[in-house]
Amino acid sequence: MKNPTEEVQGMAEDRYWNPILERLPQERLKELQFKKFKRTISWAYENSPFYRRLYREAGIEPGDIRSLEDIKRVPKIEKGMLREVQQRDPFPYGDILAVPIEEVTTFRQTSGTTGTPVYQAETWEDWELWSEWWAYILYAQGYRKTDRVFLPFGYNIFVAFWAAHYAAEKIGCEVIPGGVLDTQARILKMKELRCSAFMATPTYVLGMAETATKMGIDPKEIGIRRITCAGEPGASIPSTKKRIEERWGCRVFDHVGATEIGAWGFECEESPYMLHINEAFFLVEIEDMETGEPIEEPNRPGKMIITTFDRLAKPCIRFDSKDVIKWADHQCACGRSFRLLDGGVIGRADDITKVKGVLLAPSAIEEVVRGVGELSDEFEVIVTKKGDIDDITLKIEIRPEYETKRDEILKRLQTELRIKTNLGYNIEVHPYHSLPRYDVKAKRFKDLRKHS
Amino acid sequence: MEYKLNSLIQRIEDMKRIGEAIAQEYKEIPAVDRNIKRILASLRILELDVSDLKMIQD
Repeated sequence: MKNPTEEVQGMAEDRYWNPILERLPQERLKELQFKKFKRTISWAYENSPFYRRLYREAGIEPGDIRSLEDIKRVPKIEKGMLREVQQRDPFPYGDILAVPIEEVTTFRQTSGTTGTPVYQAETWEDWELWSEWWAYILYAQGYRKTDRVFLPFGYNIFVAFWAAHYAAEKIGCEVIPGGVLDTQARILKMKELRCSAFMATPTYVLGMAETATKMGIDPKEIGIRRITCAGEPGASIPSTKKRIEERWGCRVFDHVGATEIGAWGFECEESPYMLHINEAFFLVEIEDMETGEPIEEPNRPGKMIITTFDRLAKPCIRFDSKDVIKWADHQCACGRSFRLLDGGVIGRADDITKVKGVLLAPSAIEEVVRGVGELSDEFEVIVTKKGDIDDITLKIEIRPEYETKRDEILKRLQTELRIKTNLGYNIEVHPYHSLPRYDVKAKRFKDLRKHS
Repeated sequence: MEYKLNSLIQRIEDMKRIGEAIAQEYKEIPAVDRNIKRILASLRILELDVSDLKMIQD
């Protein structure tokens, strides 16, 4: 922290990055979204051959959109289409590009977790939007100019925390890029410089705590006051969030975003396990996963269809993200009118799989495993077939100090898993620290049924 | 707190007009052209939001 005495004053005086937009009544917000949607679809239709082709084939023009209801008639796009269009000119983005190629100033790409990476073109204006979206996130999570922020990530072709870096600078924080340092060096640098905040995937945040402990440093001694997580749902999973908060002795916040979409949602200081959608810049619709019927009521999960407003180089209009979300049943006490999602991103429509006839979301297993304090942070789930029957194995590690309680721990774990997921598991206990560790996004769920 | 949107919009428009004029006049000098255009890119975010708000308030 740069100046600890300033923080309290700052927090009390100002709460919103943009008090006009963040407190706009919902009906006004909807009018604003409609105006922005019209402008965004017109831009895409006029400048992107991909979108023009898509809309012409569907028999729709921007002028046909006369109300928010009409938006549902606009064809959706999905990741496969974004990959396919990259085969066309101009290289390497394809004709979805809505600006001349010489206007593109930044290249990013998706991580490729679900297939061929999607290339993302950004203009200067687009990049300004990225840092603006992130400024809303960081401000809502209490970042101020008094913060010294460490960024322990690889500064590479993935969007990751690039925009967080620029947003933190925009807010006035002092930003320390922890690029090519290894985990030990990052911990030492954070301690040396008395950093007050950092950002990483939940997996890496836990891994850093483990490394610090091995180095003889209690993470709590470093003085971190807040951590912002991204890339995985962990910070919205109660048991994982609790683990991180206990290890680091600070508040942990979630944020959600994607390369193709932008940084569209964030947790604020008032509503843990909930995410605000930044409705000034994004339009989120929830659809029933089977029927496609719109879902407006709270507590009913569906998949997210999202539009980003005013992105120039590569517009993102009604993108089927496959993220599973549900509306919360209340407004946030923070005073923002932006709607809340209960539990953040609950899972992905293409991750939820049937095992022994039961629908299983990997995040449900994480919640149980991370809720058993005697287990380490790592685990792995492997689904195979034995003959015609699904078989599910959970690999875990027991912390050395609890080895003597192994039978009791396994019994409790099996019961909790049964309650939470309605499934029985083969549980394998592996030596402490033998399961794979991950620096960025973890791959803990492996469905091998198609290959066995 | 009441926000004076009209005044804010006017000031942003003034800045934008001045910025565009400078960029046009000195477009042969990359350092002037690109720096001014970068400022205009920042202003665009505010301009879009504020002018949209003004429209829905009217």
